[in-house]
Amino acid sequence: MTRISKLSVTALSAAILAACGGGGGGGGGTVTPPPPPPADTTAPTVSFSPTTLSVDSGQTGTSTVSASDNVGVTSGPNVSCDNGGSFSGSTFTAPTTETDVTVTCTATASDAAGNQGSATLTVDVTGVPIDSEAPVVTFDPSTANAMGGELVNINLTATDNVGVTTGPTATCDNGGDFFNNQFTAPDVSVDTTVTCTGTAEDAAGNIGTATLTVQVTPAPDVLAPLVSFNPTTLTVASEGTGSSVLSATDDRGVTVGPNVTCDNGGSFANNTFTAPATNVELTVTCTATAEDAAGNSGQDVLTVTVAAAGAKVTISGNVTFDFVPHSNVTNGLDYANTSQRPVRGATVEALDGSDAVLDTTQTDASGNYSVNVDLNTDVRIRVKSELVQTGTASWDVKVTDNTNNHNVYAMQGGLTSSGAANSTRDLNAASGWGGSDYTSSRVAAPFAIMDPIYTAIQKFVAVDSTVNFPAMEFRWSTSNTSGGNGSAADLAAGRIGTSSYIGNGTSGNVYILGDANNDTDEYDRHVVVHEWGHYFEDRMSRSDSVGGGHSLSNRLDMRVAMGEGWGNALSGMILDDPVYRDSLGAGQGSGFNFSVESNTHSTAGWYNEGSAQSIIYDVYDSAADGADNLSLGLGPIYETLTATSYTGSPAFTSIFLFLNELKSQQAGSATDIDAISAAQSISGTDEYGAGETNNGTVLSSLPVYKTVTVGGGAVEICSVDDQGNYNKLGNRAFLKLNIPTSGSYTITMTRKSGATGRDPDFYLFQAGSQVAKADAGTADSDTFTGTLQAGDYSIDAHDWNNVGSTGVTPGDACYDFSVN
Amino acid sequence: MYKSIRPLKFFLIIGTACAISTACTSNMTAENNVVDKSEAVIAPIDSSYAKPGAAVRMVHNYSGQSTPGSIENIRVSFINEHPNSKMTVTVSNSPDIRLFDDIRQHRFENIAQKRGDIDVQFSTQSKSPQALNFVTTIELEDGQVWRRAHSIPVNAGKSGAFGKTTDKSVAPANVSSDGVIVMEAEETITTE
Repeated sequence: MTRISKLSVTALSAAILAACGGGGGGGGGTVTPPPPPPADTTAPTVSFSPTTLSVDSGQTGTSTVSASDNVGVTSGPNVSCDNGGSFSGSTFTAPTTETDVTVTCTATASDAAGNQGSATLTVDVTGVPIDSEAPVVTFDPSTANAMGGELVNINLTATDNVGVTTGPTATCDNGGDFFNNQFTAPDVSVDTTVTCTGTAEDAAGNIGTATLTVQVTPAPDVLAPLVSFNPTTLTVASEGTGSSVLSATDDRGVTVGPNVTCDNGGSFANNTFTAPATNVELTVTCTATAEDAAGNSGQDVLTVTVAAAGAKVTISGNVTFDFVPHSNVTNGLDYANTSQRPVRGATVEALDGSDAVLDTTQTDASGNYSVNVDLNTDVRIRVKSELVQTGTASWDVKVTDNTNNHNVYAMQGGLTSSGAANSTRDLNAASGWGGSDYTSSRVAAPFAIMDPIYTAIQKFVAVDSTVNFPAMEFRWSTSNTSGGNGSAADLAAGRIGTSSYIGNGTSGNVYILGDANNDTDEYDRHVVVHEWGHYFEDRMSRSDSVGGGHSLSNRLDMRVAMGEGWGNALSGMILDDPVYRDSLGAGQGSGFNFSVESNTHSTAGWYNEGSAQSIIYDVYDSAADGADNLSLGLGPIYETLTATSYTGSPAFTSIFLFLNELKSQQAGSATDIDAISAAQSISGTDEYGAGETNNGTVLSSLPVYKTVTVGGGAVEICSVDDQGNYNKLGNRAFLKLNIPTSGSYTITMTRKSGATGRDPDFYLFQAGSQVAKADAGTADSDTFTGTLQAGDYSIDAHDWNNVGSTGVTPGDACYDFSVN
Repeated sequence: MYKSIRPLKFFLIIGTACAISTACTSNMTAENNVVDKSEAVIAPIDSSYAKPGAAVRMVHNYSGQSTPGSIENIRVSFINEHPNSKMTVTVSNSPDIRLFDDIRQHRFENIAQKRGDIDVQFSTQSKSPQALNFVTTIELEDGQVWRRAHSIPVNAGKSGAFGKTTDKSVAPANVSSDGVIVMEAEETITTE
């Protein structure tokens, strides 16, 4: 801001007043301009403080320079110096000089009017001599001799006329090192000259150096080669081999070996040990040796245990299968609660890579097994779905594939070396269930089928230690469906109709459904045992059943009722679970059940399988319920069914035959036996059901057996379809006949009443075996003429229209039956 | 399925099924007084010792062989041998069969009705053997429930090439050199 002086304002005011006629005089006069302001003639004031300095050559000193003016400083203060000095800010820098010199610095400043002021700074500079002498660096000693890796003490020093500001330090070539007055010789393989350079510097930048020369010779080689076997111990069979990797290394290089020598007849080459033949266990020691050029020698030892010829290792383990229980709510399979159960009594084989059997055994009641095989041999463990035992008690049960040449199923592990020590291999058969469907092989299925049969066999062995079960198969496949007609081609293709037993008294097998999402039975244990019960009845006892469809509400042919009731009861007895369950449908998620303990049957009687199962189960179980006070267990039932008086009875198999035989063997329980029979509306006595009063709403069904005698006149029998056909109550009439003397006889069956155009047929049996028949298609009559041996016969007489299927006209008709 | 020592007529097998409602009449005539028993018949239900279940027979008029892509119309009949019961038939099929009717459950409420007929329209493009599956459920007046599964093989491939091969859970059978069907076990090995 420009200050305007008071003088100027006053002058200007006077000028303005004068211009406006402020001086009086009356109008019309000339205005006189004011006088110009006076000129600025005052120069700025400039000063140094202090005004003098004394500094050494090249050094600095401080003096404050300032400038002021009456109007204002418009330039400066600016400072210039002579004699090499310089000034900046408030710092003076002296020139470098070896002689004393005076430096004068002048500061000037100007104002707007051009007035200039100045000031002077006087500096006395003391000259300093220049240092051009480098530091003296010394190695003491400056030469040396050393061996590779050796440390040598050498003194490195540096001096200077003024002073050492950096170092001394040293660097070396050829791998040498110098630090803290110590030289470290490099490891060399040949004589080597190592040169080290020491360096120091002073403040003037002068650098001094020195050289150290060291002659380095190779250190003596004192390290032996490192020799190693890996592993250092082996166990091999007689004349067998084992592997151990042999290596040898050295810091200067291996020049000899590694060479191996073995004692006791062993040999080693290419990392392989070969054992000698030996009949006793022996120890072989192999020693490997290697040398370097300096003659250093290293070694290692391999110790081998050679097993005697024939020595074995044991492979043991536990075998299980996935067990899937039923839901008590849906009766379907409850996959979420799958657990592992032991595979019991199954054949276990140790196989080599060519499926040759090295050893075989069976799993025990806990699923454990143990086999012995040669050492270091590739072995796989295979478990077959079969129960086989020979000897006093014998059996032979296999689960096979009827769609694949009846080959037996097996699970197996991988082909793995048996090693030199005992080992464990546990195997489990998986169900194959993937969460919502079967997604992998149903390995467990054959073993699930086999499991309840193991239980059944063991229970019968417990009551008869000499029991011999004829060979049989459970035939199962994932292709086994409920379609088909039962032909051999159908069975081979899996169209088995339903789970069933197919037998003829001399052989028989069970077919089990495996059709996922329609009907599978491998986990329906009561079904499996029920069908095995038919096998038992057919092959161990006697069955005259004609088979066919059946249910607990049907009034059946008494032979069918007995067979089916036996199968149902047996399943409850063997599994210790009276509730029979059968799963089926999508995801095997539904099913049905019934209890063999239940004594309530709407169609109770000698023709009802429900009654038969109730009676048989009540004979067995220990629970007293209703009229049941029996707890005889399995033994008496087994004794009854296998008694020759049962299997050889002239009467057909029925609940009457069973009860009659049971009471003859268990006379003390006869009253209780009668009680449970009566509870099922069964009143007939003896094997023929004499005196039975329950006709099951079929009038012609009583008496159960009509008695026909030779020359005794015609006996009326009827064949009706009131309860259905084929195997229902009333379809077939039963007669008993005694032939007193072997000879020729004529038996006729002639329509007596009812529909015409019928087709009467009849079959004669002795102890369950058919010995004669008349089944021609003659309308309304049929005749047999032939030789009959003396003895008792049971006769099955019926109208073919009531036991056939399509192409027939079921109906009621009665016949006269006579023997002459 | 059949006991060979029993009356031989029970073992005769029919080549094609014959629905009861069609003209499968008795071939016994008054003139010749002879019943022609040469015609194969199917026993009412399997003559084997079958497992317990609903006493229901199924008959149908499917020929057993289809042309891929052709639409089949068949009648399937269920003969109920239970007295006074209600019957439900649930229909399902192999994955490669197309059923044209969305109804999967057929209910027959008339307890006195002994037979229920179902018309099934289907087709398949697959030449692999397939199946139509039926589950019959019987409800008795006393509350008992019985079930049985039935199946009709459907073949649109080579004639006679039966056998179910659509089960994807089954790996091709691996038969060892000694005739054993081997399946891989889950194995755990531990060395002492």
